[in-house]
Amino acid sequence: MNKPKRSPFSRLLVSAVCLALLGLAATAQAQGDEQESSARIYISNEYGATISVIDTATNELIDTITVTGRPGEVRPRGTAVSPDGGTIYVALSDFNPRLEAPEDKIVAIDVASNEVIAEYRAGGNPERVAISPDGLQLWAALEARAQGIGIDLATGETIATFRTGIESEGVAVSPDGRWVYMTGEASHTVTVFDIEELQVLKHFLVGNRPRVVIFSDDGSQAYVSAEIGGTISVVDTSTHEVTGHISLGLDSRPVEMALSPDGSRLFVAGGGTNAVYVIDTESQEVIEVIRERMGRRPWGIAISVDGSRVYTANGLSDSVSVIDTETLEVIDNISAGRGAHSASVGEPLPAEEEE
Amino acid sequence: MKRLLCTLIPLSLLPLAPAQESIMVSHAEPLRFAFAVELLGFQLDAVELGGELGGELDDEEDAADAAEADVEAAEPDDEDEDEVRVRPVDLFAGSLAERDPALHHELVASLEEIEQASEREDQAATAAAVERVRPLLRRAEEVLLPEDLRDDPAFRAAVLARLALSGSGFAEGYEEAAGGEVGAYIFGWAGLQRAKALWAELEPAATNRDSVAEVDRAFAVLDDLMPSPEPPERFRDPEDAEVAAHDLVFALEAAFGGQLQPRNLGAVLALVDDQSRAACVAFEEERELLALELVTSAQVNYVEGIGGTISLLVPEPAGVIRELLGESLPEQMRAGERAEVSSGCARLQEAIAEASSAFR
Repeated sequence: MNKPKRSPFSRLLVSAVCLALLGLAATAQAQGDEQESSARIYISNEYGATISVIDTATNELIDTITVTGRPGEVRPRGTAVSPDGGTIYVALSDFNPRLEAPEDKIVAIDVASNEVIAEYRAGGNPERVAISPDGLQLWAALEARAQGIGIDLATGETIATFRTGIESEGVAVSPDGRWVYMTGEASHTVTVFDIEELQVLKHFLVGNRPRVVIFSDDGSQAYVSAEIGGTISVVDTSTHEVTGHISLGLDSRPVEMALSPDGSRLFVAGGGTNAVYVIDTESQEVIEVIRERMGRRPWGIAISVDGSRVYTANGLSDSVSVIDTETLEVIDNISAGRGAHSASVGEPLPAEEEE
Repeated sequence: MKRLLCTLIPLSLLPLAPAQESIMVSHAEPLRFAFAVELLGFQLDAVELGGELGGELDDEEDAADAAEADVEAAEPDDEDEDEVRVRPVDLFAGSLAERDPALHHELVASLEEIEQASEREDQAATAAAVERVRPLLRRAEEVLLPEDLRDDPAFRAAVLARLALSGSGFAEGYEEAAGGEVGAYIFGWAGLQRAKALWAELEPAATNRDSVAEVDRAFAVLDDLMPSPEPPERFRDPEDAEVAAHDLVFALEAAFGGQLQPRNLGAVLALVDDQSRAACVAFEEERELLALELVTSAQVNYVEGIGGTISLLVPEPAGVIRELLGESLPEQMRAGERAEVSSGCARLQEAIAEASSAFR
């Protein structure tokens, strides 16, 4: 994996933040020594306006990052972590999707210092974000504008904006960096954007109210969760066509998904049934539904780097459930912030930052 | 007209609905009647509190159209107006007029009285006219709805679901108010009160008792958003109302074991096709009021159910459908322009057939 550049530009970068970062470097380094020896799970808390940080080695909450001091007015939702694990990107918006407000932006947080190191104005109620595999581009769904936007993280410049389906939400970049897939929640579609040609290739229909899209590691397939449809649409990415739908039940309300590192299992957060659905990706069948000890309304989900644990962001119980992927049982529940929404996994920080 | 219809692409080319279809599709006509009566009922409540009688469809193509203006690469969609106004009574007036002309006449006259009194800001006259309409509405419901459906829990739950999710429903009322149209709040609040009253009647019949708590929880969220007839000083996220409305409908589906929201978009388009064809036939048979009712219903189902999707996937026929259902056909039907209606009907069927390719 290419090491990404660590110099995100921000038009709104405040010099005071840089000074503060320099001043706090020693402190941050000390924190890093204690905290960054293993991968982390980041949970955005929509109503608490915080990010809960969980150490995957101990399954303990090791930090809570305050994203904004205005909970109830500004909310973090979608998150993505840079490939090197050093920066977490968080989609922020106010609570009025129709209003283009300064709060509609994406912030980059340095996970060593927990400081906001860059801000990217997006507008249009950004809901979810994705980072390109090389770590150089950020792509966001602008829900209120039915648009997608790409931002060059080095310059802060807009790469492209493009039309999507209505109420764009889920976004993913293909592992080869060629395609952006973006869901249109109210049009029941996925939009395919060609990063090389900088144009929309097509829109195609998936299950009703598609929420989230992810690619398989080899990029050959994509999976799209459909909340009202209660399905996962399977997409052949060579043709950008749906090849099948995996049914989870009409009340399942699937949202976020996480693939095991070997791609054999797809874990789906079922917000409607307080369950996690485990799908065998080869047979495309549900092989287990995990309900016991699950928190309420799992909305976000992430899997540890080694694939041994799955973490769910439970919006109604403000918690994170930890699932052992061998036994497929909930082994722990960890308190998170108010309105746990999305979950992302971050690689361990590079060795030079730990020293 | 019949000869013309025979030359059109047959309905069988549209995707077939699955065996278990949403009540919105399988019981489209009675659901339309019941929903429109409830809608009018809570609008009257709102009018008594100072609201303005009317109805509005949420147009999900707005967002796409707005995006289009800013995106260079976007393909042109259509240039339709931002919103479509539909009066609830238009969704059943034709059927009522055919089944009980006197009741229809009395109801329409009373509604006009309300509008006039409301425009004069004569509260006493408005209230008196509203009280005259209420029993007429109940009678209309008895005339329009089959007896076995009137108290059927699953059917009533579907009506409640429509009150929640429709572009004229209570969640939309809150959303519009939070977006700046504060006058819409009272309709959201009044719709919510009616929905809660419906739920109180339905709750004992819920077959899945676990879901009852979920319904109550959703109503609690909505109550928190709309605690009184007076708009809150500060609105919360409009999506909170939408999310709670969806929570409510999912819980109702679990409680009564039916599909209360459409999931098969091809079936919704087939319904639009059925209704628009029936409208054209009714007009050909000189049943203009029924024709208008049916074309209005087709428009509602199109705009709320599939218009945005079709606009995105097959923009050309989408533009034709929207223009015909939303403007030309109703206007031409009102004006009695028979040749134009006939031609418009033919173009509409062709456009719908073309649009159905989006769902194959």
